Amino acid sequence: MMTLRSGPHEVDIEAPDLVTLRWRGVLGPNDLVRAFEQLREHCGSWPHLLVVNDISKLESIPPDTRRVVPEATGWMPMRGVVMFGGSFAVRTLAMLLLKVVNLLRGGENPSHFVTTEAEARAWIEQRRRQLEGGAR
Amino acid sequence: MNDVDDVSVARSRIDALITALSCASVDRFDDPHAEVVTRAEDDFGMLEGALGVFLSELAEAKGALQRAVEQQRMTISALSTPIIDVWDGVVTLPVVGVIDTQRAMEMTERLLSRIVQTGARAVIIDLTGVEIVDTATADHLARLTRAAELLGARCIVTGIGPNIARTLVGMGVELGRVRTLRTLKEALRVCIAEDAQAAREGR
Repeated sequence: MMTLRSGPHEVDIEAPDLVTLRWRGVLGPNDLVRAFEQLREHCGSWPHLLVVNDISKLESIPPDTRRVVPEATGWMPMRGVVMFGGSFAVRTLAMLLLKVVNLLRGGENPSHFVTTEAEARAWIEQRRRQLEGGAR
Repeated sequence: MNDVDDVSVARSRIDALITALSCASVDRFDDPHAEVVTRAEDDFGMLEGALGVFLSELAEAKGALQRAVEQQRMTISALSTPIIDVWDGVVTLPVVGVIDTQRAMEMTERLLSRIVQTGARAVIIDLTGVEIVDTATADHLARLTRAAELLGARCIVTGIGPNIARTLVGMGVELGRVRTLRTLKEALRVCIAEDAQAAREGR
Protein backbone atom coordinates (compact mmCIF):
# COMPACT_ATOMS: atom_id res chain seq x y z
CA MET A 1 0.00 0.00 0.00
CA MET A 2 1.20 3.50 -0.81
CA THR A 3 0.17 6.62 1.12
CA LEU A 4 0.13 10.08 -0.45
CA ARG A 5 -0.43 13.35 1.38
CA SER A 6 -2.10 16.60 0.48
CA GLY A 7 -2.15 19.05 3.38
CA PRO A 8 -3.61 17.24 6.38
CA HIS A 9 -5.33 14.68 4.16
CA GLU A 10 -4.08 11.24 3.21
CA VAL A 11 -4.70 8.99 0.24
CA ASP A 12 -4.05 5.26 0.57
CA ILE A 13 -3.60 3.45 -2.71
CA GLU A 14 -4.09 -0.30 -2.87
CA ALA A 15 -3.69 -1.79 -6.33
CA PRO A 16 -5.44 -2.96 -8.36
CA ASP A 17 -8.60 -0.95 -7.70
CA LEU A 18 -8.93 0.53 -4.20
CA VAL A 19 -8.22 4.02 -2.87
CA THR A 20 -9.00 5.34 0.58
CA LEU A 21 -9.26 9.09 1.00
CA ARG A 22 -8.87 10.32 4.56
CA TRP A 23 -10.11 13.85 4.84
CA ARG A 24 -9.28 15.98 7.90
CA GLY A 25 -10.66 19.30 9.20
CA VAL A 26 -11.79 21.90 6.69
CA LEU A 27 -11.22 20.63 3.16
CA GLY A 28 -9.73 23.42 1.04
CA PRO A 29 -9.94 23.47 -2.78
CA ASN A 30 -6.16 23.34 -3.32
CA ASP A 31 -5.74 20.30 -1.06
CA LEU A 32 -8.60 18.54 -2.80
CA VAL A 33 -7.29 19.25 -6.29
CA ARG A 34 -3.75 18.20 -5.33
CA ALA A 35 -5.02 14.97 -3.77
CA PHE A 36 -6.89 13.98 -6.93
CA GLU A 37 -3.99 15.04 -9.16
CA GLN A 38 -1.64 12.79 -7.21
CA LEU A 39 -4.21 10.04 -7.35
CA ARG A 40 -4.42 10.41 -11.12
CA GLU A 41 -0.64 10.11 -11.44
CA HIS A 42 -0.73 6.74 -9.70
CA CYS A 43 -4.14 5.33 -10.67
CA GLY A 44 -4.95 7.11 -13.93
CA SER A 45 -4.52 3.89 -15.91
CA TRP A 46 -6.67 1.68 -13.68
CA PRO A 47 -9.76 0.36 -15.48
CA HIS A 48 -11.97 1.20 -12.52
CA LEU A 49 -11.75 2.61 -9.02
CA LEU A 50 -13.44 1.65 -5.78
CA VAL A 51 -13.31 4.52 -3.34
CA VAL A 52 -13.47 4.62 0.44
CA ASN A 53 -13.89 8.08 1.96
CA ASP A 54 -13.00 8.48 5.61
CA ILE A 55 -15.02 11.54 6.61
CA SER A 56 -14.93 10.82 10.36
CA LYS A 57 -12.61 13.80 10.96
CA LEU A 58 -13.88 16.00 8.14
CA GLU A 59 -15.35 19.22 9.55
CA SER A 60 -16.65 20.98 6.45
CA ILE A 61 -16.53 21.25 2.65
CA PRO A 62 -16.63 24.99 1.85
CA PRO A 63 -18.31 26.35 -1.33
CA ASP A 64 -14.97 26.99 -3.10
CA THR A 65 -14.07 23.35 -2.64
CA ARG A 66 -17.47 22.06 -3.73
CA ARG A 67 -17.21 24.01 -6.97
CA VAL A 68 -14.00 22.23 -8.03
CA VAL A 69 -15.17 18.72 -7.17
CA PRO A 70 -16.82 17.83 -10.53
CA GLU A 71 -13.76 18.85 -12.54
CA ALA A 72 -11.21 17.36 -10.14
CA THR A 73 -12.93 13.99 -10.14
CA GLY A 74 -14.09 13.95 -13.75
CA TRP A 75 -11.32 11.56 -14.86
CA MET A 76 -12.10 8.91 -12.22
CA PRO A 77 -13.66 5.66 -13.49
CA MET A 78 -15.49 5.15 -10.18
CA ARG A 79 -17.56 1.99 -9.82
CA GLY A 80 -18.41 2.27 -6.14
CA VAL A 81 -18.00 4.85 -3.38
CA VAL A 82 -18.44 4.26 0.31
CA MET A 83 -18.16 6.83 3.09
CA PHE A 84 -17.74 6.16 6.76
CA GLY A 85 -18.09 8.33 9.88
CA GLY A 86 -18.88 12.03 9.70
CA SER A 87 -21.54 14.27 11.16
CA PHE A 88 -24.99 14.38 9.59
CA ALA A 89 -24.20 17.82 8.09
CA VAL A 90 -20.98 16.55 6.46
CA ARG A 91 -22.69 13.37 5.23
CA THR A 92 -25.43 15.52 3.68
CA LEU A 93 -22.91 17.65 1.77
CA ALA A 94 -20.94 14.58 0.72
CA MET A 95 -24.14 12.97 -0.56
CA LEU A 96 -25.01 16.10 -2.59
CA LEU A 97 -21.54 16.13 -4.14
CA LEU A 98 -21.62 12.44 -5.00
CA LYS A 99 -25.01 12.90 -6.57
CA VAL A 100 -23.89 15.73 -8.84
CA VAL A 101 -20.63 13.99 -9.75
CA ASN A 102 -22.56 10.90 -10.83
CA LEU A 103 -25.09 13.04 -12.65
CA LEU A 104 -22.39 14.80 -14.68
CA ARG A 105 -20.29 11.69 -15.33
CA GLY A 106 -23.08 9.27 -16.09
CA GLY A 107 -22.50 5.53 -15.69
CA GLU A 108 -23.04 3.25 -12.73
CA ASN A 109 -21.42 4.32 -9.48
CA PRO A 110 -23.34 3.10 -6.45
CA SER A 111 -22.65 4.85 -3.16
CA HIS A 112 -23.19 3.91 0.43
CA PHE A 113 -22.77 5.41 3.89
CA VAL A 114 -21.64 3.33 6.88
CA THR A 115 -20.31 3.98 10.36
CA THR A 116 -16.94 2.23 10.51
CA GLU A 117 -14.01 1.50 8.22
CA ALA A 118 -14.57 -2.24 8.65
CA GLU A 119 -18.12 -1.85 7.35
CA ALA A 120 -16.82 0.27 4.49
CA ARG A 121 -14.30 -2.41 3.49
CA ALA A 122 -16.97 -5.09 3.71
CA TRP A 123 -19.16 -3.06 1.33
CA ILE A 124 -16.21 -2.66 -1.04
CA GLU A 125 -15.62 -6.43 -1.00
CA GLN A 126 -19.26 -7.01 -1.83
CA ARG A 127 -19.13 -4.43 -4.62
CA ARG A 128 -15.93 -5.98 -6.01
CA ARG A 129 -17.64 -9.38 -6.18
CA GLN A 130 -20.57 -7.81 -8.04
CA LEU A 131 -18.19 -6.28 -10.57
CA GLU A 132 -16.34 -9.56 -10.97
CA GLY A 133 -19.72 -11.18 -11.58
CA GLY A 134 -20.31 -8.87 -14.50
CA ALA A 135 -22.32 -6.11 -12.80
CA ARG A 136 -21.78 -2.56 -14.02
CA MET B 1 -45.93 16.12 16.00
CA ASN B 2 -48.15 13.05 16.11
CA ASP B 3 -48.82 10.38 13.52
CA VAL B 4 -51.80 12.30 12.13
CA ASP B 5 -49.38 15.04 10.98
CA ASP B 6 -47.13 12.64 9.09
CA VAL B 7 -47.19 13.01 5.33
CA SER B 8 -46.40 10.52 2.63
CA VAL B 9 -44.27 11.71 -0.29
CA ALA B 10 -43.22 9.88 -3.42
CA ARG B 11 -39.49 9.03 -3.37
CA SER B 12 -39.07 10.52 -6.86
CA ARG B 13 -40.16 13.95 -5.59
CA ILE B 14 -37.61 13.85 -2.75
CA ASP B 15 -34.93 12.66 -5.17
CA ALA B 16 -35.69 15.55 -7.53
CA LEU B 17 -35.22 18.06 -4.70
CA ILE B 18 -31.97 16.47 -3.58
CA THR B 19 -30.70 16.44 -7.16
CA ALA B 20 -31.53 20.12 -7.59
CA LEU B 21 -29.73 20.93 -4.34
CA SER B 22 -26.74 18.83 -5.39
CA CYS B 23 -26.45 20.90 -8.58
CA ALA B 24 -26.76 24.11 -6.55
CA SER B 25 -24.05 22.91 -4.15
CA VAL B 26 -21.50 23.14 -6.99
CA ASP B 27 -23.01 26.26 -8.64
CA ARG B 28 -24.45 24.29 -11.58
CA PHE B 29 -27.64 26.32 -11.68
CA ASP B 30 -27.93 26.05 -15.44
CA ASP B 31 -28.10 22.26 -15.39
CA PRO B 32 -31.61 21.03 -16.29
CA HIS B 33 -31.61 18.94 -13.09
CA ALA B 34 -31.27 22.14 -11.02
CA GLU B 35 -34.81 23.14 -11.87
CA VAL B 36 -37.41 22.35 -9.23
CA VAL B 37 -40.91 21.65 -10.50
CA THR B 38 -43.95 21.74 -8.26
CA ARG B 39 -45.50 18.38 -9.02
CA ALA B 40 -48.65 18.66 -6.94
CA GLU B 41 -50.45 21.33 -4.94
CA ASP B 42 -49.91 19.69 -1.57
CA ASP B 43 -47.71 20.47 1.45
CA PHE B 44 -44.63 19.04 -0.25
CA GLY B 45 -45.55 21.03 -3.35
CA MET B 46 -45.21 24.20 -1.25
CA LEU B 47 -41.73 23.08 -0.28
CA GLU B 48 -40.91 22.39 -3.95
CA GLY B 49 -42.29 25.79 -4.97
CA ALA B 50 -40.41 27.67 -2.25
CA LEU B 51 -37.15 25.89 -3.02
CA GLY B 52 -37.65 26.58 -6.72
CA VAL B 53 -38.07 30.29 -6.03
CA PHE B 54 -35.02 30.48 -3.76
CA LEU B 55 -32.80 28.51 -6.14
CA SER B 56 -33.74 30.69 -9.11
CA GLU B 57 -33.15 33.83 -7.03
CA LEU B 58 -29.81 32.47 -5.90
CA ALA B 59 -28.85 31.69 -9.50
CA GLU B 60 -29.85 35.21 -10.54
CA ALA B 61 -27.87 36.76 -7.67
CA LYS B 62 -24.81 34.68 -8.53
CA GLY B 63 -25.08 35.71 -12.18
CA ALA B 64 -25.39 39.38 -11.23
CA LEU B 65 -22.37 39.07 -8.94
CA GLN B 66 -20.31 37.45 -11.69
CA ARG B 67 -21.29 40.19 -14.13
CA ALA B 68 -20.35 42.86 -11.55
CA VAL B 69 -16.99 41.19 -10.89
CA GLU B 70 -16.28 40.98 -14.63
CA GLN B 71 -17.24 44.65 -15.04
CA GLN B 72 -14.91 45.61 -12.18
CA ARG B 73 -12.14 43.50 -13.69
CA MET B 74 -12.52 45.34 -16.99
CA THR B 75 -12.55 48.71 -15.23
CA ILE B 76 -9.43 47.85 -13.23
CA SER B 77 -7.80 46.60 -16.41
CA ALA B 78 -8.58 49.85 -18.23
CA LEU B 79 -7.32 51.92 -15.31
CA SER B 80 -4.17 49.86 -14.98
CA THR B 81 -3.14 50.36 -18.61
CA PRO B 82 -3.76 54.03 -19.39
CA ILE B 83 -2.44 55.23 -22.74
CA ILE B 84 -1.64 58.94 -22.74
CA ASP B 85 -1.06 61.27 -25.68
CA VAL B 86 1.96 63.16 -24.37
CA TRP B 87 2.92 64.96 -27.57
CA ASP B 88 1.79 65.30 -31.13
CA GLY B 89 2.20 61.76 -32.54
CA VAL B 90 3.69 60.39 -29.31
CA VAL B 91 1.80 58.14 -26.89
CA THR B 92 3.02 56.71 -23.63
CA LEU B 93 2.05 53.56 -21.80
CA PRO B 94 3.00 53.74 -18.12
CA VAL B 95 3.04 50.18 -16.79
CA VAL B 96 2.46 49.51 -13.11
CA GLY B 97 2.56 46.15 -11.34
CA VAL B 98 2.75 42.65 -12.75
CA ILE B 99 2.21 41.87 -16.42
CA ASP B 100 0.63 38.49 -16.92
CA THR B 101 -0.47 37.02 -20.24
CA GLN B 102 -4.04 38.30 -19.99
CA ARG B 103 -2.93 41.82 -19.12
CA ALA B 104 -0.24 41.79 -21.80
CA MET B 105 -2.88 40.87 -24.40
CA GLU B 106 -5.16 43.69 -23.23
CA MET B 107 -2.27 46.17 -23.23
CA THR B 108 -1.26 45.15 -26.73
CA GLU B 109 -4.80 45.40 -28.04
CA ARG B 110 -5.40 48.82 -26.49
CA LEU B 111 -2.04 50.18 -27.57
CA LEU B 112 -2.39 49.02 -31.18
CA SER B 113 -5.92 50.47 -31.38
CA ARG B 114 -4.61 53.79 -30.10
CA ILE B 115 -1.73 53.83 -32.60
CA VAL B 116 -4.16 53.24 -35.45
CA GLN B 117 -6.68 55.73 -34.06
CA THR B 118 -4.19 58.58 -33.49
CA GLY B 119 -1.62 57.75 -36.14
CA ALA B 120 1.05 57.84 -33.44
CA ARG B 121 4.64 57.72 -34.73
CA ALA B 122 6.25 56.89 -31.40
CA VAL B 123 5.36 54.85 -28.31
CA ILE B 124 7.09 55.23 -24.98
CA ILE B 125 6.60 52.27 -22.65
CA ASP B 126 7.49 53.42 -19.16
CA LEU B 127 8.38 50.68 -16.66
CA THR B 128 9.09 52.95 -13.69
CA GLY B 129 6.18 51.33 -11.81
CA VAL B 130 7.27 47.77 -12.50
CA GLU B 131 9.14 46.15 -9.64
CA ILE B 132 9.58 42.61 -10.90
CA VAL B 133 10.16 41.29 -14.38
CA ASP B 134 10.35 37.64 -15.32
CA THR B 135 11.03 35.91 -18.62
CA ALA B 136 7.35 35.89 -19.57
CA THR B 137 7.00 39.62 -18.86
CA ALA B 138 10.07 40.43 -20.94
CA ASP B 139 8.68 38.29 -23.73
CA HIS B 140 5.34 40.13 -23.54
CA LEU B 141 7.15 43.48 -23.77
CA ALA B 142 9.20 42.38 -26.75
CA ARG B 143 6.05 41.21 -28.56
CA LEU B 144 4.28 44.43 -27.69
CA THR B 145 7.04 46.54 -29.20
CA ARG B 146 7.25 44.37 -32.32
CA ALA B 147 3.50 44.69 -32.87
CA ALA B 148 3.67 48.48 -32.46
CA GLU B 149 6.58 48.70 -34.90
CA LEU B 150 4.63 46.70 -37.47
CA LEU B 151 2.11 49.53 -37.40
CA GLY B 152 4.87 52.01 -38.09
CA ALA B 153 5.38 53.36 -34.55
CA ARG B 154 8.88 53.34 -33.11
CA CYS B 155 9.17 52.16 -29.51
CA ILE B 156 11.25 53.35 -26.61
CA VAL B 157 11.28 51.60 -23.22
CA THR B 158 12.06 53.76 -20.21
CA GLY B 159 12.27 53.42 -16.45
CA ILE B 160 14.20 50.17 -16.29
CA GLY B 161 15.42 50.24 -12.70
CA PRO B 162 18.44 48.44 -11.26
CA ASN B 163 16.34 45.46 -10.13
CA ILE B 164 14.81 44.92 -13.54
CA ALA B 165 18.14 45.43 -15.31
CA ARG B 166 19.82 42.91 -13.01
CA THR B 167 17.02 40.41 -13.51
CA LEU B 168 17.01 40.75 -17.28
CA VAL B 169 20.78 40.31 -17.48
CA GLY B 170 20.67 37.43 -14.98
CA MET B 171 18.05 35.62 -17.02
CA GLY B 172 19.83 36.38 -20.28
CA VAL B 173 16.70 38.05 -21.63
CA GLU B 174 17.16 40.06 -24.82
CA LEU B 175 14.77 42.90 -25.54
CA GLY B 176 15.95 42.71 -29.13
CA ARG B 177 16.10 45.95 -31.07
CA VAL B 178 14.06 47.82 -28.49
CA ARG B 179 15.56 51.20 -27.68
CA THR B 180 15.91 51.92 -23.96
CA LEU B 181 16.34 55.25 -22.19
CA ARG B 182 16.45 56.15 -18.55
CA THR B 183 13.41 58.37 -18.14
CA LEU B 184 10.14 59.25 -19.80
CA LYS B 185 11.33 62.85 -20.03
CA GLU B 186 14.46 61.81 -21.90
CA ALA B 187 12.44 59.65 -24.29
CA LEU B 188 10.01 62.46 -24.98
CA ARG B 189 12.90 64.81 -25.72
CA VAL B 190 14.35 62.29 -28.19
CA CYS B 191 10.98 61.84 -29.91
CA ILE B 192 10.52 65.59 -30.31
CA ALA B 193 14.07 66.04 -31.61
CA GLU B 194 13.69 63.21 -34.10
CA ASP B 195 10.38 64.61 -35.32
CA ALA B 196 11.98 68.05 -35.75
CA GLN B 197 14.86 66.54 -37.69
CA ALA B 198 12.48 64.55 -39.89
CA ALA B 199 10.54 67.75 -40.59
CA ARG B 200 13.73 69.56 -41.53
CA GLU B 201 14.66 66.75 -43.87
CA GLY B 202 11.18 66.85 -45.35
CA ARG B 203 10.33 63.27 -44.33
